[in-house]
Amino acid sequence: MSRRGSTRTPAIRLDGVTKRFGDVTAVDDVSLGIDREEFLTILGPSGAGKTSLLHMIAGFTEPTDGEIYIDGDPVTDVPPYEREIGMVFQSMALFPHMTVGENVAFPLEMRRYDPDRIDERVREMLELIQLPDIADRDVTELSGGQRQRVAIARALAFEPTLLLLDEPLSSLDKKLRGEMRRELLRIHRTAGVTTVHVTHNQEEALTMADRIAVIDGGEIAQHASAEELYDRPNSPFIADFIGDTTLLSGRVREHDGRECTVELAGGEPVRCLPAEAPPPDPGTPVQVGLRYERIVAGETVATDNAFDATVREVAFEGDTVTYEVDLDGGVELSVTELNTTGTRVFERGREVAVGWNAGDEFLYPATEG
Amino acid sequence: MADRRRRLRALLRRLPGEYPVLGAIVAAQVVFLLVPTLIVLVASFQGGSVIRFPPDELSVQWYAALPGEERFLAAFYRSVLVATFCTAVAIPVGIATGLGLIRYEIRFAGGIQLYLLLPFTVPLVVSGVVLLLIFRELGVLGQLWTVGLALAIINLPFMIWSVTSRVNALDPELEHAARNLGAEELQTFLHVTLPALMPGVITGGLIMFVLALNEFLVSLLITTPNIVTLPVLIYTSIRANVSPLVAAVASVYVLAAALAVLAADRLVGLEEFLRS
Amino acid sequence: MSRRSERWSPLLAARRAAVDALIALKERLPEDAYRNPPTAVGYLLLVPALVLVGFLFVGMLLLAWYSVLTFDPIEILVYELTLENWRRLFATTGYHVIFLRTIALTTVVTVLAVALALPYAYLTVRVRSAPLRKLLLVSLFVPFFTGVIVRAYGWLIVLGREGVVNAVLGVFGIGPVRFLASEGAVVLALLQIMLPFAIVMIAPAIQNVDRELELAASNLGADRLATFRRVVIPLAAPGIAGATIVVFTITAATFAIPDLIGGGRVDFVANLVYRTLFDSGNYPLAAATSVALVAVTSAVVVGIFRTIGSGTLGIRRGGGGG
Repeated sequence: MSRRGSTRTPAIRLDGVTKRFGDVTAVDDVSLGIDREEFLTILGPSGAGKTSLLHMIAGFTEPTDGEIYIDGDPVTDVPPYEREIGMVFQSMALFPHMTVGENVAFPLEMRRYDPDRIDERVREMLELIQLPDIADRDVTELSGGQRQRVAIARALAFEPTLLLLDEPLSSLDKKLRGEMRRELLRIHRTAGVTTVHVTHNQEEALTMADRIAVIDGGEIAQHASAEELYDRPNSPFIADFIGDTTLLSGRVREHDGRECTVELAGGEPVRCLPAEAPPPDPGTPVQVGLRYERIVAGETVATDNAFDATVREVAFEGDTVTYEVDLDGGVELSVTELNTTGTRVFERGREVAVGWNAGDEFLYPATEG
Repeated sequence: MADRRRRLRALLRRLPGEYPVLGAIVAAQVVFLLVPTLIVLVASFQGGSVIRFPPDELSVQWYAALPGEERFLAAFYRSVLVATFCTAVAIPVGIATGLGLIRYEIRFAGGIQLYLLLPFTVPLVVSGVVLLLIFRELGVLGQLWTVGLALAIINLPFMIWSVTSRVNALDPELEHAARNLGAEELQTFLHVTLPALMPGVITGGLIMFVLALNEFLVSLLITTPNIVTLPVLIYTSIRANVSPLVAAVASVYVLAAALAVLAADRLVGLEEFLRS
Repeated sequence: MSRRSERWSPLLAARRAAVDALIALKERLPEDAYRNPPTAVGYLLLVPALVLVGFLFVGMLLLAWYSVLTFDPIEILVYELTLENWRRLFATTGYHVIFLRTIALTTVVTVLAVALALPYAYLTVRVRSAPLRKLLLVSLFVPFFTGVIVRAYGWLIVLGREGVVNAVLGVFGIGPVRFLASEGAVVLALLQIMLPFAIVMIAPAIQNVDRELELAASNLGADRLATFRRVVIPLAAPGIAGATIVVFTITAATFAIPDLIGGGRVDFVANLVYRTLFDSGNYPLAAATSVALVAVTSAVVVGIFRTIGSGTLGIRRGGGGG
């Protein structure tokens, strides 16, 4: 993130970009700047308008409203083939009637490069993706991971100013996904190209991106670094969408200007330390978000908030154990414990103590009611 | 009762193949389809001047006589010309129609499709009569190109089907990718869209060519004696007598069909023909 | 890659130049014409096909017009309106017989062809052995591509007085039997002509039936026949409808088989039209007969449309493929 040069014009800027298909608003007034060499991930559930956004940046569709700037110049009237943007498609979109070499050479041929220069560049690109010997292969013979790499090589062959990745890992199996994730980052660093990456997979977003823009219902919900997004989600939606969170509703009982007490629906008092002081006024309905892994469970707990509870379900996940517990007042919580040496796995029906410290919760004004 | 059924099943299971009963039915159909087709080949090697079974003696004399049969050669040449013309007309028309129907928001698309099926719903003999009347009215009857045009018309739906099924199957991301990589509209079409439609075009083109090479009824109605095509000439020759010479000529067709099947299998795979 | 660059240069340069010239030409057009092609372009693309099929459409109108003109043995056509042709068509028993025979035999051929095509298409699609599938495809397409006349000729050789069947029967001291010039022979030969059409129409529909649905059916207790009847056939109905329509219309218009195999005893409407046209030159009567044939087959096609839908004859947009 140190690479971010904030004084220069952003590599790409979206200004109030809106896309409507008939009555449906796919992208709603999105404004966003992406710095040079940044790796930005647009994260959102399926149908959130991610692909529409990418298609507008690439120039396949025009925004209904707003403007897109690349290097400070508006591009709405620029056709896709003049935008110098590389793109890796969800289906890879490798041309099935061409060899690997011909696929990678395609953008260079379109730019009327010298044949020798094309050969040289194709060789360079295949070396970059560490598959130097597959130029004469048919793309239909390639494995999923190889197709992925070839698609990247093709998208980067003409040295685009911007690289778009549309769910690039979604067609790969889990193991390959991890490998390709590292590969993509390596290539991003080697090529140093500004990258916009679209995904619905939060883990992919958290591990890859310099910054993440979470998009929901066509709008940007939060645009921040991965750590900030995880530690300080700005809405219950983000808290729920990224990481595992229990959302509880309650009402502020009292506060001292810094700390406050929230009464949960079951009557339990919870001490909270909201990041933004002062806390909401007494009587305000609120939502309290609790990360599964921030809650501890044990025979006894020594935390600011501590409750007696009964284990309702146990899910053993190997490295972690997740309990669903019922507080005595009726509130339901989920708790994830690390499975390290000496950890006790509680069985169903056990009485346990659960708790967390003030400040470990997220506090939001209730959205409705 | 149940015991008998079980024993029957056990018996069936011992028959070869995955589908024993079905297999037997289909095997009979294969014989039924092939025998009348391939028998012409056998008959053409007849040594005598009358076709009879079993043949008196085998000989290639009728093939040796073929190069001297100018009437047949000329008719064959005309048939090839007509088939080529018909295919050359049908391919661009088929591509344009496929793209137009599927890529654009056409009003009354359903009605247009129904209209384009007219060549199939109008009985062939009526199509022949209709084209005869039109070509007569236009004063072009007896010109060879009219036969090619007629065959392009009556088989056009085959071409349109082959192409539309490919246009439908075309992944829009491929064209997006091409434009993204720097290909403007024309190059996108030439380098990506057209090659992707190619299997459909080849399939349709092959069907058009072979059907035109074989077409008989419409040709019979609209050809005048100086432009008869080979199927029409074979027909008149059969009516005259069942000479083994005609069998040798007809064998050319069986060979052409086998060649077309081979070509189809090599170019796009025969399975492709079961897609549209 | 080096191999490629050697054969590239001159050819590549020429191809690039040609494409660039075309691009330059394209760019002379108003930008929107190629960048956001208006719907008008779509209609423009349809024009050639509409014109070609227009020949038939206009021709049908012409045919209807001819059918009410007056025939004169010397002038052939007299432009005086008359219903005489239609009266003759309706009043002559000989014509009724031919029409009824055409419909009856066509129905027999259609039912048999579709019924036989189902197992053939099914096995071709489902058989696991690749050589076996190839054999089935070849046995399907070689006759399909061989044409009516050659196959009619084949049937003459098979069924003739000194043909294959009589040769076999002769070994057992039977015959010679006269097979030709009978309705049975005509149906048999027509069936062989039409079977490939039916298979080609039905196979894609069966291809679209998910194999797992059949496994599910057998898992739920259906045996093979029941699976075929209750799962495969209903799901392949569009293909069956398409096959029925195609086989019926082609068979109803058939000429060569009744003429060559039927030997003038089993005439279809097409033979009647041909004789009227070329033996007596009676264009108006031939036109009336043709219009009547169109009416009859259309009625049947509409009937099939009504009962099982237009099937695979419709060109569908998106998704499922044509």
